[in-house]
Formats: sequence, C-alpha cells, structure tokens
Amino acid sequence: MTSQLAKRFISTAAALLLLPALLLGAAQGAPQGAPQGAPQGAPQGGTVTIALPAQPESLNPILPGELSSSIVQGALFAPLTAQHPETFEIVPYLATSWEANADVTAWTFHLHPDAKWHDGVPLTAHDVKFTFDRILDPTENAQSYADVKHVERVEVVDEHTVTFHLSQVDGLFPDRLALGALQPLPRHLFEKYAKLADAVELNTAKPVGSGPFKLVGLQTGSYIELAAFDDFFLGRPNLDTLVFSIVPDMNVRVARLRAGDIDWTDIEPTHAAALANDKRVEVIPVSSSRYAVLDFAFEGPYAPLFADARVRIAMAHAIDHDLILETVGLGRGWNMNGAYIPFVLSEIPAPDIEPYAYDPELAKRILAEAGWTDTNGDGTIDKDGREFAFPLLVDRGNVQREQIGLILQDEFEALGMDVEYVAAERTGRWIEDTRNRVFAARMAEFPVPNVDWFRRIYTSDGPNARGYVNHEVDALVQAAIQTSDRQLQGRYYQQAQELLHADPPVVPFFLREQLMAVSTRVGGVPKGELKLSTPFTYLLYVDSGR
Amino acid sequence: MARYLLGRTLAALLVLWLVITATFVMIQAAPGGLSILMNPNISAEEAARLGRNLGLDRPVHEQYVQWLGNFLRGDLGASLSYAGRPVGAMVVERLPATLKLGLSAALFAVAVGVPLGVAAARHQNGFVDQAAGVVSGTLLATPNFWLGILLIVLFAVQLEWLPASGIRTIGSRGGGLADQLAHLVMPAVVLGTSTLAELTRYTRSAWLETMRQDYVRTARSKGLARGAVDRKHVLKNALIPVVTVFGVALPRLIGGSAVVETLFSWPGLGQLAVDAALRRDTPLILGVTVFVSLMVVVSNLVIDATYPLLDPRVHYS
Amino acid sequence: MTAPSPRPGGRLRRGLQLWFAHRTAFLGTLWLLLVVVAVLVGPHLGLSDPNKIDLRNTFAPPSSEHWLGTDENGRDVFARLLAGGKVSLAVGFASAAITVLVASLVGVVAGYYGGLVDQAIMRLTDGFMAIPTFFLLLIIVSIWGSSPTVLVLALALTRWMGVARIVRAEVLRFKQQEFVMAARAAGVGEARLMFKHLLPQAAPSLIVATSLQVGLVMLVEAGLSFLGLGILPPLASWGNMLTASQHYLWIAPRLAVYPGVMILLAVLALNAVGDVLRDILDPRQGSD
Repeated sequence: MTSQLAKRFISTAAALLLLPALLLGAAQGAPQGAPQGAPQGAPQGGTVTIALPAQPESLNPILPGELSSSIVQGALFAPLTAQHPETFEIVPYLATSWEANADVTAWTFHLHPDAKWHDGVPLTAHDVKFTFDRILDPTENAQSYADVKHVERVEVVDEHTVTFHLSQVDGLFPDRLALGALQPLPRHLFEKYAKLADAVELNTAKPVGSGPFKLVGLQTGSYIELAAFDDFFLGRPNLDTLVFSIVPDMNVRVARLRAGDIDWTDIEPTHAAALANDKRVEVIPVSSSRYAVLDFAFEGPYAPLFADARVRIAMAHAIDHDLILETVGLGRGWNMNGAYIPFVLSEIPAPDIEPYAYDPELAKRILAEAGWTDTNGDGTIDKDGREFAFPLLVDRGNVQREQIGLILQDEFEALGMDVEYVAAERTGRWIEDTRNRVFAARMAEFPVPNVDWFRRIYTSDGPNARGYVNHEVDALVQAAIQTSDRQLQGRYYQQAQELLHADPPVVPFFLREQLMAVSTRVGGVPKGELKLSTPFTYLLYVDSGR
Repeated sequence: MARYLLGRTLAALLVLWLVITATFVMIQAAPGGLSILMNPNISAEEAARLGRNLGLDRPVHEQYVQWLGNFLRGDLGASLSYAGRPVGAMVVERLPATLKLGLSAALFAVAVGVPLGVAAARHQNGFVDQAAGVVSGTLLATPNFWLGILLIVLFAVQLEWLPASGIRTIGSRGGGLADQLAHLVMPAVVLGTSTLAELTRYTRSAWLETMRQDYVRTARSKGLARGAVDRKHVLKNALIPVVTVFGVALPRLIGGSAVVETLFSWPGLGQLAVDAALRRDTPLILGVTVFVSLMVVVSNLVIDATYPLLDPRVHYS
Repeated sequence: MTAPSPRPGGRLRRGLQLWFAHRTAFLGTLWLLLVVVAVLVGPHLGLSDPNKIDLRNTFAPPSSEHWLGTDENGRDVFARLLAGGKVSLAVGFASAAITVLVASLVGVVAGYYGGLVDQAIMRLTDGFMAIPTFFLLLIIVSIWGSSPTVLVLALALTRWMGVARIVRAEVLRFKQQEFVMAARAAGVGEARLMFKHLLPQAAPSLIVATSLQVGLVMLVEAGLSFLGLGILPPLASWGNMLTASQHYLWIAPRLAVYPGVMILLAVLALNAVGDVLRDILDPRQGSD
C-alpha cells in the first residue's frame, strides 16, 4: 500500500514540478559524439584479423546468439543507435537524429538517406518497421523481445523517418536500441519467410546487412571473411578485408599475435606479460561495464541467514577488496567501493557513501550484535539453533570468479562461518539453482551497459530479480523511467545506489580493466570491447610503414 | 558370409537404436538445458518463451518419436543453437578436416609405432628397448594440450617454422598443398602420440610372445634364416592385438580429439561433439552420435574380419 | 605340449634378474614406491596445508618454507603436489583396476562362447564405444558431480571396451589350441577353462593394458580439466594443477613444470614396470 502511494506521489510530484524540464527534454535531438566517417587521408587497403572465442551461432542479430555472434554481427549490420566503445554514450549510427514526443511515449528516428543493403537496395523506414513487427511477435524467437515489447506499433512516417509508439513512458528507448540484437533486417529478402528462423541460408551463410563489411567467405569452426562494402553510408572502410579467426585457447591467441597471424584480440592480464617486450604488439586498456558480485539469497532455504542487513554488511567488512584487486585482477581495475553503477556511465553521479572497509574484527562484532555467536563451541557461529553454514555456488569457467570464490570462503570462515565451495556448471546447476532461487550465496557477473540494467537487476520486479525487495529503490527507478531528462535520471540513480548500500543485495567486486592486444600496424582501433567496437571497424586502417 | 554380414548389420541397427535412446534419455536427465536458454541475462519467462518456440516444451516422448521418424526418412533435423542449420550438413562439412587429421595421425602412429615396437622386442632389454620405452612413454605421458602448447610456442613463435593453428592460411594466399601440410603437422603429431605409444608397446609385447611360440622355435631349429622366420611367421600373428588396438583407436582418431582440435582451431568432429554436448543441443548431439556409432560399428566389423586373415586358427563359430 | 610352468623358485629368481636388468623399470619402481609413500605419509608430517590461501605471497619462488614455492593463491606447491598425487594415482589405479576386471570378464566370456553370446556382448561393447566420450562424461558429472569416486567409475565406463576387445582377440587366438582341447577332453569345467587356461594367455596384453590404463586415465583426467570437467578445485590433482597453470603460463611457467613432470615420470615408471612385469609373468616363458 505504502509503496503504491509513494510511487504515485513521486511520479505526480515529478510530473508537476518538472513539466517544463520534460518539455525541454522532449525536444532534445541527437547528443554529441556522432561518429565521423573514415578519417581523410588514411592509407587504403589491407587486411585485419580479429580473434573470436567461438563459432558464431547465427549471422542474424535478431535470433539468439552469444558473444561471438554479436561481435561479427556488429560489422555486418548497422544498428539504429550505437554505444560508443570508449565513452559508453549513445551515438547516432543508422539514425542520424531522434526525438521523443511530449510525454515520452513515442520516439521518432531519422534514418541516414544514403543507407543501403549489401545487395544495393536502399534501406528505408519500411525495413525498420518490418524488422520490429517481426521482433514483437513472440513466436518469432527474437532474443530482445522482452526489451521492446512495450512498443505498441511502428509507424512509417516517410521513407527515412520512423516512429515507435510505446504503451508506457520510456526515457531509455534509444539506449535499448544500441545494445545489439535490434538491428534492422532487409525486408525485401526476409518478407517471404513465415518466420525469420526459416531463412536458414540468410541466417547462417549469406547474410545481407547494412554495415561497413559484407560476408564473402566462411569455414565453420575456422574463420569468417568479410570484405569492405563500397557503398557504406558513412564512407567506404579503409580496409579491403576483415577476417574473424576462431581461436578458443588464450595461449594460442598470444602465440598467433606474436607470430603476426592475428591483429586484434582481447587478452587477459595474466597473458599481457607475454607481450610486454614485443614491439609489434600494443596492449591497450579499455573500459568495461561488467563487475563480479557475491549475490545473496532472499528466497529459499538459506534466506534466513542473510535476511538481516547487518549480516550482509558484516560480510562486506570481511572482504579485502584491495587485496582481491591486486591478486585476482593483477591490479588492473577499479574497486566499485559500494557503487552499483559503473563509473563509465558517466552521466550518473557517484553515490555519496562510505565503502565498507576491510575490518574482520568489526565484522565479527556486527555479527554478534545481530545474534550470531558460537554458543556450542564447535567453531561455527550459530543463532537460535541454526548454524551459519552455507554453500558458495561458483560458476565454473571464469578463472577470476573461481579465485574470488576461494578467497571469500577463506575470509568468511575466519568469521566463524562454515562455507562449502561448490563449483557448478554455468549452464547447468548454477543457472538452475539461480532460477529456482535455492542457492545461498553465489558468484555472478552483472553487466550494466546502461542504467536500464540497473533496473533489471536491482528492482524487485525486474526481469533479473532474485528476490530482493526494496520499495524505495523501486520508486526511485520508476521515477527515473518517467523522465527523459538525463540529469534528473542521474540523480535518481545516485540516490538509489545510496539506498542499496545501506541494505546491500550483493557485494560488488572490482570493475575489470579489459585489455586489448593490437598489432602496431593497425590504426584507428576504437579503445573498447570487441562487441561494442565492431560497428566502428570502418575506422581501421593498416599502416604498413610502421 | 552373406548371412554373417546380414546378422551384423541387423545387430548394428539395434545397437544404433539403443545408443540413440540412451543418449536422448541422458540429455533429459542431466540438469540444465539448451545453453541459449540458460543465459543468466534473460529472465525465466523469456527462457520459457524461447524454448516454446523451439519446440522444447513438448512432452519428451513426443520429441523422441518425432526425431526417430525424421531419422528414418534420412533427416537428422536442425540444430537448436545454430539458427536451424541442418545437422546432417553440419556433420558432413566437418568430415574432410576430421578425416585429414585423423588419418594423418593414424598413419604417423603406425609408421613410427609399429617398427619401434618391433625393434624394441628384437633387442629386448637392450638399449633400443629401453629407449623406445622412454620415448614412447614420454610422448604418451605428456598431456596432449601441454604438448600442443609446447610445440606451438617452439615451432610457431620461437622458430617460426610452422603456423600456430588453423587449417589453412585464410585468403587467397593459402589453401595450397604445402600450406595445408604445414598446418597439419603439429596437430597430427599431437593427436597421434598416444596411439603411437600404445602401438609401440602392444607390438613389442605381441612380437615377444609370438617369438616364443613352438612353431617358431621349430622353424628356427630347422635352420631357416632368421630374417625369413621373422617376416613370414611372426609378424602376421603378432599383429592381432596390434590391429585390435588400432581398431579401437581409429574411431577415436576419426571422431576427433576435442582437446587437439580446440587448441589448433581445427574445425573437426571432436570440437563439434564437445560443443554440442556443452550446449545440450539435442539434435546436434544425436547427429554426431549417429555418425560416431556408424564409424565404430563399421571399423569393428572390419577389424573383426581381419582376424581370420591374420591367424588361420581364429574362426567364428 | 602343455602350458609351460617352470619351478616356482626359479621363476622368482628369474623375475628378479629381469627386473634388475631393466634399468628403467628398476628406477621406475623405486620412484613409484617413493611417491606412494610420500603421498600417504606426507599429510601427517605437518607440512603446509595444501588448501591454505595466502594472498600476500602468491607466485613465490622456492624457499625453505615453501620448497617449491607458492601458486596463484599463495598455496604451497609441494603440499599440493603430494595431495594431488594421492588423488591422481588413486583415481588412475582404481579406474584401471575396474577397467581391467570388467574387460577381462567380458572379453573372455565373449571370446570363449563365440556365436550369439559373442555377438551380443560385442554389440553391447560397440554401443558403449559409440556414445561420444566427452558427452557421456559431461552428463555423468552433471548429474553426480565430479568427486574422485564418480570419476573413477565414469572413466572406467569409457575405457573398458577397448581392453575387452583386446582380451577377446587373444582368447580367439588360443581357443583352438591343443592344450585347451586337451583340458576340455579331460572334463575341465567351463569357468575353469575360461579363467585358468584361456585368460592367462591374454596376460601379457592385460599387463600392458593395466599399466597403460593407469597412465592414460591420469592424462584423460588432465584433458578433462582442460575442457572444464575433471577433478574440481579446490581439491588438487596433477591434472587440474596442470590445467590451472596454463592460465599463468606467461607469469609463472614453473607452475606448469611440476605437475607435468610428475605425470610424465609416473607414466614412464608405470610403462617400464608394466613391460618388466609382463616379461616376468609371461606364461609362455619356457626354457629358451
């Protein structure tokens, strides 16, 4: 009851007080940072080889796929808006500008007039409408359906203007479009198929996109070869060829980098040492928006252990974040210090909080205050007859999280807890226990590429919620959604983080500094993760003089 | 003979059916599911919707019957993770690479392993025997991913004699015979080493025991030249356990080694099998299993057929 | 001529002679005994705890406190080698034992009876060989976890078929021989025929198989760790220590050397011992 009242109060107040701001915000056009075309005078020609971790599942961005698919699709298909790999801002791409209507329930995008498909057919608003009509059909298996299902209809205003009419206010709609899996598809090729998934050849062997490169060859399990698209609307790419080579093993990637076989790959800090003395390879740190967390259960058999916020705060005090950053991250990264939104999303001001410092003695005192002491002398703290014993579920396959899990087990056992380290298969027991909410505490990684992910993860009804309920945070996020004023949104999220800090649902670990290893003969490399950077591969050039 | 072959064929079909059923049951029994549905960034409702669209919410027995029906019509179905690619095509396109690697590794193992084993047996407990034991043992004893990395670092990075991984140089420069061979050397050696070591030791063992057979001693005492005795009488008999080992290794080599293929980015069947298993992609797993089953059945049939040729005392009742 | 059987005393003497003569086997046996004693006794000697983390002391070089240095979590490498050795050797031996036992039974029954029994058993064997190994192991580990016990059984399940075929092949060779005919004519029961007369003919191959299987299982366990299965940390095994070290190859390559060398020496020793045992126990060692 109270939360509903609160929500209504806040949204009404916001609407009344900020009406002028809303009107101004609604008239906002494209933000700064529009990408330029290929730089003038850059050397033309050449080939750049990028390493992929696995075989892409599909060459159709709408259908389900994982990281390798997204990376390749980035170079083949132009999104309406893109996320700048270095600043994480939303920049124009296929859409040169956009604006919302007065109450932020409709967004209009203006398409680039020169956009064409790889087969020469011009790209128009009809392609956008066609694509989204299909996405919004729940039987089409679009992987991003849930992100855009509040789109009621898509209206073709003219050949290069399209309007999305939403069933609810959404100030973050352009941000959603930049996350991938929503790039327009060519209507003239797909419309004859009852379902997008029926076009198997288009989806897996002969894709036709609108991005800077087009597919010319592939061998499953080995490589994918792309050639420059001469009529790319931002200007022909400098390169002639872009090759994606599938190299699953990290050590082999290092070997191939050093042998000159590969030009660009992501690299782990532990492997960067191998390239330190190699003059032909440069290691570049790039921003990331993902951090590991220790996630507590608020439902299920272990929830009573963590229900009291003091327990979670005590556990936070038992963690030495500096040492973890040093040992696990080799110093490459930044401690979140209690924040839940990565600082790379710079429009969100940092929360005004005091991070929980490493203090095991304080932790033990807080636990005792909360009623957890070792009453029966067996070495484990207990309360009301229940021992503080729980399994720590760690998803296998990520060395850093596995290592953090070990360290946490050590640190919590020093508090008198009994922690069992359970390494589980990520697509098996780990996800099952998560979805069924029977885990006690688990290691996970949260991506927060934009603030909407904050809502998904930390609000009680978000799609990624795990049982944590904090009505004030929910209200703040609701208020942020109702406005398209970025500054106001920022303040709401700042406050939401402060509230979370007082009643922490998770313990966030350091924001990893991602590393890219790039051959020095390649120029114009965006300093970001591969997945965000591939739409900008038209900026690459090969300087054989280096 | 025809009756025997018919019997074997019927038995093979029965085995195939049992294997398919067992595989299907195992996939259902294991926790987790199709990996694209197990993505932690999508909600449970979304996972259910995607699963429904892929037909995974139908009752298990219905899915099973439908797969069998399609299979009997020669259709192996479509992959659930790879955007509906036909499973048959996915398996067949891996065949050239897999056969190239597997047969090269087998050739390497036989060409080096058998003579080494014979030499070891003929100089039993001598230097060659112990050296062969150490060499084959060392090769056998090194985990293949470790050996692979060492070779890559040595030959591709330090010496730059061979390419680090992959099946060919990408683009128009690659693809020629020399290019293909250069890419084949390291993976074939790494894949073949364990079979080589096994063949060496079984050959040595079989040679030694056959040397002690009565008829060999009789032939020797009759004064036949040692070389003649060796070649004619001993080799064929000694080959039976060796041929058996080779027959067991062959499906393993042809089926591909996931470790070697992953390391060397070799687009083979082993990598596909591991990938399908990790993704719990039922049609793809079943497709690979069907193929591997056929290979196993055929190779065992061939091996069994060679026993009477090698040793006339063997016959099947 | 009957199956050869020299005097027991002479056999033992001959055996020891052969064993000393084969230097690799001799050294190998000593080394194996040393390792077995070390892994059994080591934990009680009050050395460092193999699971004790010390984050301020990671990748430390060898010292008096840590004889082989420390790993990525500051754990004592020597202690982990001993703990890992216990797991790896135990899994190897146990798995090989089960493999050989099951394979002997299956192989000798199939080879002896022939006909439909042989066909049925061999087709069952084919079936097991047909299921892709990694898939089978993945499912087993998903359902039952990857404790050493589960791995021992799972690995045996994927390996018995090959050895069974070898045993069957040997039995087929000797089934028609005179000493078997004679024993049958003398009224010897089938079970005795199979296990006391035919199976020992397969002994040389079986001994080679056993020693090979122990080594192969240790290697397969390492390969499984590489692909994400295998013994799971924090429990140590030589296989998963080797896999973990791959990640730190460019920072601390010596972490890869220790478990790799241990596996190498163990398998070499097992092979050499297997060869010598085979020579000693060969039932066809008559007067030469």
